[in-house]
Amino acid sequence: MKMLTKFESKSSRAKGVAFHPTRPWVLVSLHSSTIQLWDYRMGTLIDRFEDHEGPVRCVNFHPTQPLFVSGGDDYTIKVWSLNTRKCIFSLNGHLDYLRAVSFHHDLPWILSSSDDQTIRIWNWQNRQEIACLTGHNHYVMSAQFHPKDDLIISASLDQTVRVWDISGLRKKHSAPTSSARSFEDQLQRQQLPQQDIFGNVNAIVKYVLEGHDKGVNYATFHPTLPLIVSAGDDRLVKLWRMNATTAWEVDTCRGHTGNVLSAIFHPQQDLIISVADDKTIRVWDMNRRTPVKQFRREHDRFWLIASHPHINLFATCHDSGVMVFKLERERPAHAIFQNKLFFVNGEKQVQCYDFSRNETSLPMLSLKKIGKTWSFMRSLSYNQSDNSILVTHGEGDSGQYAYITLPKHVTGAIEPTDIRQGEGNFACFISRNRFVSFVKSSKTLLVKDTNNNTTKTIQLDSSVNDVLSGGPGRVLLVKTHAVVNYDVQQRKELAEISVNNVKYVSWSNDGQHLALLSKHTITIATKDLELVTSMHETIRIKSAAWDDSGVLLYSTLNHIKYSLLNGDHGIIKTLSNTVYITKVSQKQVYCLNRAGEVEVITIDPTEYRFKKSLVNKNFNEVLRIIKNSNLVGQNIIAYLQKKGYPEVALQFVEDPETRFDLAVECGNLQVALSEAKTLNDNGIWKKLGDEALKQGNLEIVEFVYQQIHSFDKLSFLYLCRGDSERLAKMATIAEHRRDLSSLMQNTLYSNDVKKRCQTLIQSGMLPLAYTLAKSNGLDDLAADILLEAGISEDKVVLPELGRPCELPKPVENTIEHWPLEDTTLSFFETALLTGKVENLSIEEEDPQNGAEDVTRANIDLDDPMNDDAEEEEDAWDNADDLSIPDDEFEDAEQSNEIDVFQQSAVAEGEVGYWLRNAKTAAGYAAAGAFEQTASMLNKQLGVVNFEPLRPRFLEVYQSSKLYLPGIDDLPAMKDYIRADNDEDNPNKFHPLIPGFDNLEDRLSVGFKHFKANQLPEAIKVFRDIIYTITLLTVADDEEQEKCEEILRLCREYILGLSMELARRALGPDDIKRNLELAAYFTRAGLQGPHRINALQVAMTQSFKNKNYASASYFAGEVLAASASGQRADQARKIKAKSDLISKDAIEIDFDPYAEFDICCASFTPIYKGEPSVSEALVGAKYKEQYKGQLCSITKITAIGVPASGLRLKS
Amino acid sequence: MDAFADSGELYTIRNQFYTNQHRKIQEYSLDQFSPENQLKVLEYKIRSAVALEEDASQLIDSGKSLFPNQEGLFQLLSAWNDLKSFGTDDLTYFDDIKLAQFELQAVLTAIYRVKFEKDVELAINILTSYIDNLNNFNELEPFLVLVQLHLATGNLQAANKVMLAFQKFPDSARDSIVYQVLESWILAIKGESDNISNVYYFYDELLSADFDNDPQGKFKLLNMLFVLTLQMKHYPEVQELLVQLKDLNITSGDFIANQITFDYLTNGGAQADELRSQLAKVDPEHQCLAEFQEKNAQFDDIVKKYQTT
Repeated sequence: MKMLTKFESKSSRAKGVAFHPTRPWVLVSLHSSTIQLWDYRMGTLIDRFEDHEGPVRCVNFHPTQPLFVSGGDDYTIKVWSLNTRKCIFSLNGHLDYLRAVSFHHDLPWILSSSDDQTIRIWNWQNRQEIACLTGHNHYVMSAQFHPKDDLIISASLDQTVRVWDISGLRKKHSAPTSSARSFEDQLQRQQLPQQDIFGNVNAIVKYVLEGHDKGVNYATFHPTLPLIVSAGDDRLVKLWRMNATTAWEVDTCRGHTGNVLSAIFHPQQDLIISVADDKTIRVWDMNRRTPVKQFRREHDRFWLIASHPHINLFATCHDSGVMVFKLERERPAHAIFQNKLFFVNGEKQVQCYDFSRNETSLPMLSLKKIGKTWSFMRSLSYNQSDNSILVTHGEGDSGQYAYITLPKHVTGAIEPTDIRQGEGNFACFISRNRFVSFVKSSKTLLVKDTNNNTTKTIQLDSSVNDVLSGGPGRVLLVKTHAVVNYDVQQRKELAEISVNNVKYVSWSNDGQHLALLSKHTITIATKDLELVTSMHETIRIKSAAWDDSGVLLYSTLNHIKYSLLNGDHGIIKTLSNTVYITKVSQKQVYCLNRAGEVEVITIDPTEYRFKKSLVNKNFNEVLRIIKNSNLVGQNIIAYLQKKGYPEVALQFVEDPETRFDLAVECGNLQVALSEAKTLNDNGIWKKLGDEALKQGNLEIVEFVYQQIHSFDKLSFLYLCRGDSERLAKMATIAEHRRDLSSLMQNTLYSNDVKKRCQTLIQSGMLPLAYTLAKSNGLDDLAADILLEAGISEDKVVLPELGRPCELPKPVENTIEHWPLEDTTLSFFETALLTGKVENLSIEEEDPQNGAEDVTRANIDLDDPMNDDAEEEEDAWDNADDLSIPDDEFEDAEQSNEIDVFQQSAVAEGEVGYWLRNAKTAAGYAAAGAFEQTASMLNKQLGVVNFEPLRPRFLEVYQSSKLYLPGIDDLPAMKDYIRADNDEDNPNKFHPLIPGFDNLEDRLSVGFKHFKANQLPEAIKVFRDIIYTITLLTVADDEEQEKCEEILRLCREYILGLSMELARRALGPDDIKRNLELAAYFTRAGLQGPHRINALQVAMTQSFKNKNYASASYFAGEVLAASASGQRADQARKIKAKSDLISKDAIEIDFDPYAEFDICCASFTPIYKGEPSVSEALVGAKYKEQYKGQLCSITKITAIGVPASGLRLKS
Repeated sequence: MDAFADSGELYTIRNQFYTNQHRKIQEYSLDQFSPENQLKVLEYKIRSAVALEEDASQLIDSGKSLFPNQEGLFQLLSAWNDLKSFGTDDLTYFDDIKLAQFELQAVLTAIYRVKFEKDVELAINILTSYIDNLNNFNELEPFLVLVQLHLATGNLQAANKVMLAFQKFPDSARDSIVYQVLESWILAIKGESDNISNVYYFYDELLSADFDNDPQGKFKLLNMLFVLTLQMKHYPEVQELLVQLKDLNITSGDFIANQITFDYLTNGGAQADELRSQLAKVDPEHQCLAEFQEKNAQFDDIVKKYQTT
């Protein structure tokens, strides 16, 4: 049994605690006079209530009303409203501290007990005391109503527990059924005892339970059985039984070492839980009265324990606060196999649920005798091959597994017969005849066979805390901050992911993804533990399962939620009770509840399907959902906007304002216009005007300006458009409006001088009007103005006037709309207009194309020469020389993609799959279709000389073939090695093609030969690498890029080394050619230190042969590549000497500053612009005359023949 | 009671026979079994002796006198023994069988047809026609041979069909070792991690029996594991198995052929030619060599074809 703490508060001494019947709340009354209201699920303090003076020892919720009651050392009972969070009234009457208060489950009564030795009953509606129960002759420490019957139980320091009968009180105080009381009723009431001998009215002592030797602190009824439990200062917990006439002590639970302050019955199980000031909580078996478990706290004495009325939760008060906890996990252990769910029900029996028939079987096996009585089945694993289960139970060092065969025929919960057991905190099957068990204490993983014999013991790393199921042959090792995918057979860690405190795992149906659940975080990863997404939940996460389309559904304490692989998530349903999702199929979510029963919850998957379709750009599905569902709400609209699909969102919306905003966002002016008309709001018009102006839709801009009477803007618009006619109208309008300023503006736009003058006159600005008239030659008008002003012309002094200003004429005709590129309708718009979705192409929007950020293959060539560049001089005699051109090969001439081969052979079985799925030459070769392979290589790469490829063909063919031995004397069975054994889709079966993994190692071998000056050997290695890549299949673009990079490298080395070999073969007289080849060698694309070799050869050769200018150049290059060391010193010396003369004695065909390629046949430069041809496999360049000949680099391909290029991706 | 059921006395011996633990079978004496089962035990003993390349004629003679009514069976076993000792010369027993009369006749005739006449088709016909007329759910060996023949010719589909036929059989048939062996082959060839590792564990478990005196039996199981581990691409483990197998100083054509594949995968095929010449000595007719020759011939044609163009 395990105690799982759910909540803890820190405060001063807590004396009373109570659970709210429906909400996740606890009330805590403190010794300091405060009452706290906590949300134990969220861990937040909701409110504090302070009205009592001095300690508050008891508190309780009303079972249905928003009320609670408290009692304190101030002798008062207070009733509080949860709505107003205020004390409504106080009940006074007790003469000493209050020890217990509670509401009646049915009647409007409050029960209280006090140190004044009385128990009182109050009517909280009329706020009257209706009874005072006397009889105890010491403090009454607790009092409670019976959950159903008219009984009260009380416990007192007078060493007794009393049961009181209050049926009389009920009769007296219940309302009469009618106003006219019957005679019988009156008679009956009269006959009720009015008073007992102690003066008690209507409540009589039914039993006095004596047995405790010291004061009794607490006593309570069993929720359903006629049992009582009591707790006393004699350190005992006593169990009592009662019947209609008597009550007697049944037994005593001994063990506490201090005063027992409280003891209650477990509401669902046959357990008693007690707390004491010995700082322990103890759990007892109610039937055997034996201790089951104890939990100790270091410093805190416990004062009270309370249970939740419906949920497996308990709260206890102690010296520094309260603690809410549950006993044992409630997740029913379960496992799914095909369409069956095997689970352990609430009675610890194994049952099976058939998903296809929606039917639960009878219990088939009882696990009651497995492990200790109260141990809980933590996990279950099912093995179909022998119809058996593997369960684990117990905690820590007592963790055990049991391996049991299920009965063939289900006839009811039979006792298991053949139980194979062992130590283990986790166990699961890893194949049909092997299972693993993890022993936490020793951190060992034991592999066992079906006879329970250990076949392998694996010592795990000490940081492994737990193990989870990891699919066939594998487990997940859970560490505090990581999860490791571990291959049990190979004892190898395959992958690791950083994630904290994982508790459970859920694998997707196709095994490609897994969800790792910790308390508040879900992490989704691929099967290789690459992080996909991760999300945080404030409420505890309980379970998760994948639907068939790869959406994760998970449950928290109160919700079912979903998550897509891109991290989008949302709520599907709110739960009233916590459930554990086991499987999702279409709209059905199959859950197990805490009682161990299957619940099928129907959900609406539209939202997540819609989002998933949108994310995957499955627009047909999106459209189908739009048309067929009533998916609406701000949430989905916001989602669509966020994801950049306002046009889709538009389809969901009817509210004009939202429609307007969305239409503006997606630039749909027509919709925006129509919505603006509906809304007819200036702000809206303005927005529309701005958007229309941005798009250059002048018609709408004009309309908008008209609507909002923005005349100035309108005039300016007409000016811009060169629309003089409308400008004139605007002037007229301005006149009508008597807006002189506007009129003035318009006359400026239209250059109507006369009207402008009149405007100026109208506004009394005669001097301006006169000046304008005069300057524009309107002398008559000028004269009129003078007349009006009463001034003669000679009084006016004007500056020198130029020519009248002319209004420029529009160059073009009046412009209409701003020309826009023709827009194409979006997928949705088209589909919604035409109603056709099938033939629309969405290829352009394929996320793969856009998203693939193809990074250059980064080859980490582990070159031993990098470490010590000086060393390589040993083999590379300095006196000798080399040379190279640096080249950037253009892509080989691309011809059309070659035809896909029509498979004439009707191959069956594995080879048949391989042939059907083959996309690369290597794929065909492995399947044995050599002829197709050859034809493909010829078309793709121009391979004509196949002989050098023979070993590679045979290697590729043989590497995937195995011979499975069977019966002696018969031929072995043909077996095959696949590229990916985890693949289960036959359309993706491919043969294993070896070679990719060790390419880099082989390059290193080539470099070693280079370093050792074994040039022919190096060339052979590089050429073999080319042959390997020629017949290779890779998984992705990145790997293909890497291969291409290696091919380029091999080409450069072969070219460089071939030139060097040619140079060395020259006669001593051929100095010019010698110097040229040495210079060209420096241009081969060699890796750093190797290039220095080439430069050094060129430098020394040039210097030796008095080509000082060249020597200086190469020395400079050496220094640029390596600024210190012996070589640099030598280069510096040579450079200094060469620079003195700075002339070449022999002119060579090498321009160090020109870009050129080197013809791989003639070893001469091909300068930019010169005609050349390429070879298709490695991209070697040749002069035109070599077209059609065999490539000297590859020795297999023809130069300059049509070729579609290398294809390696499967 | 079914003597083959897991509580029956033939259960163990049958498991041992079909998992190649012939040396163990040799150690049984007939007295250990009840009289009604002794004939079957003797049959296993004789066949085990033949499998271990020992002369079984004494056992056959004793059988003839012990079970005078089983003349047909002993005639067959005698022919089988002679075949191993003297080869096919002068032997007409198997050639004369066109339709098998009883289980073992069907099985051994089919094996004869394949091994000595290379006529897989006829062997399949003999077995299929025998199975078609079968009413006894204990006669499972013809299925086993049939499945191997289908799988040797690369016909997984047909093998699968044979296995599916077992669905009609009572559960006990599927508990039989014959079914488990046959299923293991099909699962291995079907591929996928789960299947292969299940098969791996099946043989790994068999290996836990005592093989101190039976290197042949151990070799056969290790050889199987060698193939499965290689199929799973667990190369370090393959290497370990290789060492164990070589320690036994036993070899077989299939073992060498699979080593060639392993050499290609881990060593670039450096030893492939040497292994092929070893294979040619051990099993010159092995399909690996035949395929090698065939592929080389195909390649010759390719070289020629493109050179001329």
